[in-house]
Amino acid sequence: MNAPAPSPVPASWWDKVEQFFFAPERPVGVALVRITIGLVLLIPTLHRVFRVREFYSSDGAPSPIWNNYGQPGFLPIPNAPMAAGLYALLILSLVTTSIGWRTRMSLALAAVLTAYLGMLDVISTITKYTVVSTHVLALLAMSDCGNLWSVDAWLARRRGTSLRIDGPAWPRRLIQILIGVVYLGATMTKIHTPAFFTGDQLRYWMLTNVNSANPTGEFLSQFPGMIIGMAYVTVMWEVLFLFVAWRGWPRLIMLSTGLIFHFLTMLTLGLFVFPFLYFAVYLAWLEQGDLTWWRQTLRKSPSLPEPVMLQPGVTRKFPSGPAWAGVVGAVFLLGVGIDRASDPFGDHRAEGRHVLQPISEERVAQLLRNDEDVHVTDKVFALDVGSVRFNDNLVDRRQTFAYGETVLIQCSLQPPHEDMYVEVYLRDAAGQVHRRLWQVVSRENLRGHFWFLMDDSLAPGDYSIVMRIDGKDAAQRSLQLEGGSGVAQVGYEEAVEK
Amino acid sequence: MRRIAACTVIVTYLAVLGFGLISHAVGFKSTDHVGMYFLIWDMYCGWSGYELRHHLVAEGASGQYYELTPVPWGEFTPFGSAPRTSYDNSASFTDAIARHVLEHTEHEEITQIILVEEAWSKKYNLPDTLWSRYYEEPKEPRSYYRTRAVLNSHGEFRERFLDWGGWLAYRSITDNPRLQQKMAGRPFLTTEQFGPSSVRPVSHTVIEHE
Repeated sequence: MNAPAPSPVPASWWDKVEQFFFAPERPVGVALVRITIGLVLLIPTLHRVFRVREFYSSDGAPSPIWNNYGQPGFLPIPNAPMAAGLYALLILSLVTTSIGWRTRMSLALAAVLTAYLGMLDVISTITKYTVVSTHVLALLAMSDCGNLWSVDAWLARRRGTSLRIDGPAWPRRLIQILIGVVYLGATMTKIHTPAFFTGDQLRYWMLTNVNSANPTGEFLSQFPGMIIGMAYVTVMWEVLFLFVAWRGWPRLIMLSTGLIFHFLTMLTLGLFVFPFLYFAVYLAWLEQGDLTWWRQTLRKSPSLPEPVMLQPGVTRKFPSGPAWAGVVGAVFLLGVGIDRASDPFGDHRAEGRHVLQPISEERVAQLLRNDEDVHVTDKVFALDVGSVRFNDNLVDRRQTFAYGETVLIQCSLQPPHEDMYVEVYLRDAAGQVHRRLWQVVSRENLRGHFWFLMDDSLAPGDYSIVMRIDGKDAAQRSLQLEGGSGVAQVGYEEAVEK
Repeated sequence: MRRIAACTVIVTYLAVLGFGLISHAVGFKSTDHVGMYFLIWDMYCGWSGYELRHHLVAEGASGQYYELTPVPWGEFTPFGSAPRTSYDNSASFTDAIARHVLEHTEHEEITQIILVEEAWSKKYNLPDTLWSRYYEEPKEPRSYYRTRAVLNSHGEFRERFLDWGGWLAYRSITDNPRLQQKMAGRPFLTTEQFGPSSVRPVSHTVIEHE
């Protein structure tokens, strides 16, 4: 007779925490993040490569972020040669990060230079993706991400040694927690922004041209119901992410939603680097088991090959550290040299320095006219006609109505606006007024709503809704009343009350 | 030893992230130090109904005006179609940009520099095809221009003014006889330390990128 098996001792809370942070693992996820983040950050870095002297040096027009925080002089602003040298080092460190050569030093250098050079140009360089990048680069520098799929690992094998590939998980865990905290912080921002939940904020962002081209956003801005739905889904996902994106189906759902979300920010908001950065950082969720599953699915070998060590002495030892230091020095000097040889502001052009261009009198009059008032048509963002309201928005724009239906008219106003006396008329094709309503839309409201009952006092045919502000025509919409009369039994006043 | 160091890093990092989160949530010391920019996750905290662009012009001693932007060596567009100078929402670096352009160009004696803000409703950013599907009115984009700042010939600020959104919000509140009566004849003191203002009930023009 078998003795009853002893009941398993439940792991203590502390054991679970320790397992979470210190379980040994192959640095698969962090290695993939390392490889991709360097490449992603090269995009904005190379985009600004010809503007180094202008944006990041005291010989240009830098815009240090510490000035905005009332801390002028918080960090020194480099002169042009120094800025060029540091920028060259940033590019080098991103490349060596990606290929994994002297990985820890490369990551540390990339983290410091990304932050420092970004802070020198608050206008056009530093963004929150710069900040996330800085965090991730610094955390990667404390990981074993350079011990796998890297030049360092290759060189170690040539030396006949191997690098540690079963280090603790904590750097990867901190990267994951960082991403969850960023989402939670983004939720705080949304909670502080009531217009986010009515879709107004997103709608206007979809229409802006300060980000890259976003034609999908411009198209979707016409569907407020969808925007509101997306806003609530986004908030729920952001709140849940930190707490459930760890294992099993919740992990898959959270990461899949995240991929879709960030892809949509490319299409709808015109973001570019931020989504790619997050695609890269999401690789931190990949574990050895995931990779094995993928390799089996793709019918490759079931697991990662163990490092193959060559025999010592087979090849000459490569002095990686001194070589890296030499390249760093050479690249710095190369940056300085390029800066000295360049003439970014045209001071030494053969035809002489640039000459300020005069402005025509008409243009000067336009620029200096100091407009005080907004034209009445610009006080209106949109005049919509439909019948369904969802979260303060009309969501079923349409033009055709039947007898007995109530027409919902939404006047969306352009913020900021003053308290407005808004009238809405229903006119027939001959210009005769059949309905008129008015209300005062106070300055804190972005919309005014009106209702007209299409009852049997109206003949079938074409009508128009005319919106007037302070007695001036501001916008107009057409609608058709179809079908026979006599359907409506609701009184006009009652309909307006509804 | 490595374990102790790792635990120290973990605890410190989580504490710092937590502080940033709470600071942002309750508005506690969230702008006290430049380092807070690295701990506050306030992407897209603001929005505006108007698209804004900045124009920097200089007036010469002859009375002729010259354009300082786009900069003569070619304007840089960091994120989309807008030039770099238009991302300086608070006009904090107008002086540095103006001085830099003047230092590297030939020009007559400059007497003053003016920063002009151009604003237009974002509805005009809709492409024509979408506009015609959505609006019955013809698309007739209209821009508004207001002076944001006036600088002397050395690039030092002489006057600064509200941005377009701030101006409209200010007007909407002060267009009130009772308020105007109370305000009349009172001495006016100003400060560079702008705080959250109630004159913007429905719109902000702070723009964060990505």
